[in-house]
Amino acid sequence: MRYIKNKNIKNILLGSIPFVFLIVLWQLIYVFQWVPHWMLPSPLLVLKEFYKLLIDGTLFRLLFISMKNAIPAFILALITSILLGILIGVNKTFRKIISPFLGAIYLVPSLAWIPFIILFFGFTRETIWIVIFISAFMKMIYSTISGVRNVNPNWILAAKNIGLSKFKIILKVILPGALPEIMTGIRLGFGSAWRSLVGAEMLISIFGGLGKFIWTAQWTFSFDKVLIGIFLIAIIGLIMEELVFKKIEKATLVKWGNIS
Amino acid sequence: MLDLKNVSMSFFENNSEFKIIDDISFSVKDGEFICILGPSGCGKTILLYLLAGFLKQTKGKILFLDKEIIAPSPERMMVFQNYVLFPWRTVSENISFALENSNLSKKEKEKTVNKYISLVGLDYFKEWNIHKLSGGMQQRVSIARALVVDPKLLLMDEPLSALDNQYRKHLREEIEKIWLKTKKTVIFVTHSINEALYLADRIYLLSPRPAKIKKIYNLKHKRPRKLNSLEIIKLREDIEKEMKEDFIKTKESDFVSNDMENKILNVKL
Ligand SMILES: Nc1ncnc2c1ncn2[C@@H]1O[C@H](COP(=O)(O)OP(=O)(O)O)[C@@H](O)[C@H]1O
Ligand SMILES: [Mg+2]
Repeated sequence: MRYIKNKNIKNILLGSIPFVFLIVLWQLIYVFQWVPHWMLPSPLLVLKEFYKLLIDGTLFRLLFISMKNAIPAFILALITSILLGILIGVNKTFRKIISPFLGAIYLVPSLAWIPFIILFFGFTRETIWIVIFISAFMKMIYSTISGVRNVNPNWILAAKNIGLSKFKIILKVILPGALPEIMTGIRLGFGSAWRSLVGAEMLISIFGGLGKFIWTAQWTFSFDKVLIGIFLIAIIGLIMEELVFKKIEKATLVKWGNIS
Repeated sequence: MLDLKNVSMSFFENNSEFKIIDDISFSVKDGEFICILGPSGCGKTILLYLLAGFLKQTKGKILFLDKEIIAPSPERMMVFQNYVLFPWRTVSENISFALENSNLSKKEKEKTVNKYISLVGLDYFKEWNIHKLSGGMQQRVSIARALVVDPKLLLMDEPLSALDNQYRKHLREEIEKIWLKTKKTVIFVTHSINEALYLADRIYLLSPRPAKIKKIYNLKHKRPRKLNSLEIIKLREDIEKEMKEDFIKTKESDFVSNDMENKILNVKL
């Protein structure tokens, strides 16, 4: 136990080296005025501003808006990608029809759809939702398909042996069998959604949360705010990834015996 | 109870025929313990898949209780070579999986599962995760999962081959005991001569691929058997001679890795 704790602390220390390095560099740049102060405010000033925005609730409000922009679309993408992914993974004909289409869409960054979506939905929250949906969906569906395809064929034989119906085989064997890969997909899908969220919010800034905050700060030359926005995006992303999704993923893998 | 009449099995790939089983016929009576003995890659697993109804033979007939086998059925339960358990289920959940389709009440299911957990001696490990068990224990779970639906025929695919020597002997005795207790008809596939000599009422010795029946041995010896009795030693020498001949005759290129079986066997839903 003690050993594990020490190891964790060591990992955290090692992992923070680049951050410390960056902050020191930043401070040096500030002190020696390698860059004008209005372009790069001091770390301490940014921290103060951060504290102010945290206390007056601005950051929470922004975060709340961003969540509203992201979560419904992410959940919808989660459900549809798993359902469709299973269908594609299980049915050969369906797979042959859909695969080239998916492959083509996969190569288009989700933000590239924005002009087209705006054409139909205007500058609305729906437009942001659709971008997030595409972004998360494309990541998750591939993991689901691959998870289904990698299910041990003998598991299916064992299920057929007792005469289980197709539907029950999917529910009782294929879905749980593919779950570790689906979990990885969900984590990657969230990352993907989170990245495009900020992009979409910059472009559809009426409904923007953090994305809009960054975008509008530059017009008033408030680069402290720009930096705060970037930090916040990174921190929230990191928390979700490390503390939520990785934990769930690992718990699945452990239970499934893929890692101990 | 089981009749194979001139059964052949081929796979076709790029218009070329790949013959695996060549004209096999035999009959099994209720309660018999049959061993199918043959070298690796000769087609033993495929033969069991035909009996389970996972695959359909290309020629001949297989009658089970006077009816042709057309689909899998819990009356014929398979114990797979690599256990094929579900890692997301505990020991007892893996066994109750086989009752997924039965209309027993929840209570009855639980009772039945418990009975078979005891039969294979895993009471203590009931709630354990599969990957915490040794190979031998996993194989017991797999056997219990097959027995829990009370099948008429048990198809066992090299159930001992992945275990270490000591445990193999132990589980071999255990399988015999379970068979004596449950009076199931068993088709037990193996490439180990000793296993066959220890367990079988009758041994069908197969040739290398394509599998043909090369020789039949009837064993009336008292159980539990001593493998160092004179008669058995003689039998073993005879079987060894037969298998060695084949081994020498087989060209290197005829060996196909066993791992391939799952990849090529395209399991459709
Ligand atoms: N779907 C398939 N298509 C072609 N060859 C196959 C297929 N499935 C299995 N085989 C081949 O059939 C042979 C017999 O396989 P198998 O029954 O698994 O042998 P074993 O006696 O070791 O159990 C092997 O050479 C294997 O590679
Ligand atoms: Mg085999």
